Amino acid sequence: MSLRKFAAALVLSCLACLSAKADDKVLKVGSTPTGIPFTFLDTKNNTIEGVMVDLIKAIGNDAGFKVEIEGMQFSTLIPSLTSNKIDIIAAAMYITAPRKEVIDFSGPVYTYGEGLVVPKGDSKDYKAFADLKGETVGAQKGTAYVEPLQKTGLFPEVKIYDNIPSILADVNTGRLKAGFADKPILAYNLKQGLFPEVGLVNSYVSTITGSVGIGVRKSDHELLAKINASLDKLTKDGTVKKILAKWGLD
Amino acid sequence: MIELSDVHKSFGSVEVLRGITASVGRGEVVCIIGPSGSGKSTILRCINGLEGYDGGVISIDGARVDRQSPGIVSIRTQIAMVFQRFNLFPHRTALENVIEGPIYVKRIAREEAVPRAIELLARVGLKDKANAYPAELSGGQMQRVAIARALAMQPKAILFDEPTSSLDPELVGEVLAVMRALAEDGMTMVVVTHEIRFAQEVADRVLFLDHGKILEEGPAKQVLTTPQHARTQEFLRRVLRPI
Amino acid sequence: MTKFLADAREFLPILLQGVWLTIVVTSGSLVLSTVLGMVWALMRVCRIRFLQRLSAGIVNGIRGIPILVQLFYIYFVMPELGVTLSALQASIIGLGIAYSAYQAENFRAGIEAIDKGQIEASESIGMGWALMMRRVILPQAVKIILPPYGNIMIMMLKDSSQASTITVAELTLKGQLIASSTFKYTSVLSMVAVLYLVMSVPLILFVRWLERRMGDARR
Repeated sequence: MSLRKFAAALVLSCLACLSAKADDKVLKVGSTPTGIPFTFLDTKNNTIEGVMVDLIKAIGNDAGFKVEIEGMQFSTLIPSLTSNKIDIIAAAMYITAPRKEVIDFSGPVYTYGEGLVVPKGDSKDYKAFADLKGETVGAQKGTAYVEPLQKTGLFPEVKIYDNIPSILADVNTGRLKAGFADKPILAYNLKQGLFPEVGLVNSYVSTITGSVGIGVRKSDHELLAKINASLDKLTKDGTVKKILAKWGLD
Repeated sequence: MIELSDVHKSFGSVEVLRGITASVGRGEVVCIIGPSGSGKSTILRCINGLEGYDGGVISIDGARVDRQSPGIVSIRTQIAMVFQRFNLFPHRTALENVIEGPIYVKRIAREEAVPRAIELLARVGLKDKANAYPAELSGGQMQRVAIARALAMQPKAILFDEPTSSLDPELVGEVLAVMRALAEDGMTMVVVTHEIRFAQEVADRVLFLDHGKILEEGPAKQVLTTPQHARTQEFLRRVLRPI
Repeated sequence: MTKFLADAREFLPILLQGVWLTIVVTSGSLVLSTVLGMVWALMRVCRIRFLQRLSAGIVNGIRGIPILVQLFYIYFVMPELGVTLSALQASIIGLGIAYSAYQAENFRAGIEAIDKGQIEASESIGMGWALMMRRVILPQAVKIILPPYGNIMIMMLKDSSQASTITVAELTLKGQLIASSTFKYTSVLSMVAVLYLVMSVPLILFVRWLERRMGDARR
């Protein structure tokens, strides 16, 4: 008899949890643990922090929803969003045409291009892709840099890494001669002094520029409208600028 | 030729051989009989170093049998063994079983070893089974191949560990016949067996073993027809007239 | 369906490049793991206690660490200790070492399954340990070892995909690349799955053929 009562109580409490979830409006946000300063894992507090995290929290405050930040690999962000594992993407993700076919983006937040890193001993003044003809280069999986690099046909191999620190690690040992990734992220990593044998090439001119935006599912029109409205407000009242400045951008 | 002097052996806390002293001369056929667990097989396995022993000395023509020493290999090439479960190499034909030792251990040339092996198979009555695999042979045939394999090493002596105990009753005779022929040819043999009639007709001496000790020993006919020790009498009475 | 076929035609050439590397990684690590596995197994069954213990320690150590961690270690950590390998070398060596533990246990099981009477018969005709292993034990153990060996081969084919995490452009990584730039996850990943299946079929058939051959009169 008591077993049945226990089972009934269990089912009721599960239902209660589910309905409670609907009321609380907590949205899951996907970010990466290795995209400093946009998103990164703060190992001291074991939480994901960064520009995009601060931004989405501020937007949530203004629009009236709570956020739960989940760290994941960059290349899994979009599939996670489209399969409802997360509700928002807040990461260093360019707004690009191919991506816009699959998800929706907020207005632009910050604009930048790719940076080039090479081993410190290499002091050549690289300006463009053509200067690296014949070399093996590296880029991050799922980023907007992979295809342009592959399409030039200048490089015998474009090695694909799961995250940017892996690219930096390989350049650091000299195993990779040239790595392409988001310039602000490369710069921030090098400023921390973690990869002493890597240098950012100042003469290099970005050709793949883009703007970062918040991502939502195509069906989530209401959410997108809320986010854009809040983003607008926070841009006008200077909050966005403050967040960027906090992390050394601008 | 084979000397055992006060040999002791224990398996863990169980003492299996409690002071065995015996000897086997060249050309002698010695049968060891006794109840199960008396240590009969253990004695054989200590003689060719398959088991080590804890006390006493076993020697072959003066050379001490020591399982740990490299010299044991030489002893094993001089003392052959025939097992209760035959232990033929299943992935080799009868002929290949017989030439394995001569070619790979004694390094005899194939041209020499093969004809000799065929002769041995003929001697045990299995020349036409030379290319058969053990799986195709009956128990009695397998054991005869095993005997040929033992003979191929041209041993000084052959140890038989209950050679017919795993055979169908009908097949026992063919194996005993081969063993008898070997004895008549002058091979030194130590045979652990339950076949009392064989012992009576073929053995020179018989040892009766009980609980790790030799209770009685002597000429075969004497021990088997007029045993002195009560335990021997009881054992023989039970074995020869089980009902 | 037609869309899938159109996608298939477009993506297949790139995926086939990945298939080539998958085959290279799998074959290389298969050979290495077999050789190493035999070494550990023979050490384990030999009569020298020190080698036995050493082998057991090595095998258990390897089995206790996930393959992914071992790959990362060899590719990203070893350079700091002075050993810098290419991604392909690291994946073959990493998978080869990781799987040598499973190979070793399989070989050992096969060897130990052989009837003890075979050892006694070999010893009684004066065979030393090495001769006995070579002529008597190992030839018989092969039959027991083969079916699990076939399973290990198939597992290695699948685990070659772990090389994607250290930049080897094998099938899985190629698939992820296409998917993450075209967002056509369903088509691409389905094709990847089918290609792995297609690669494993010959392996499965090969093992079945071997089992049948081994099961003939040579018992």
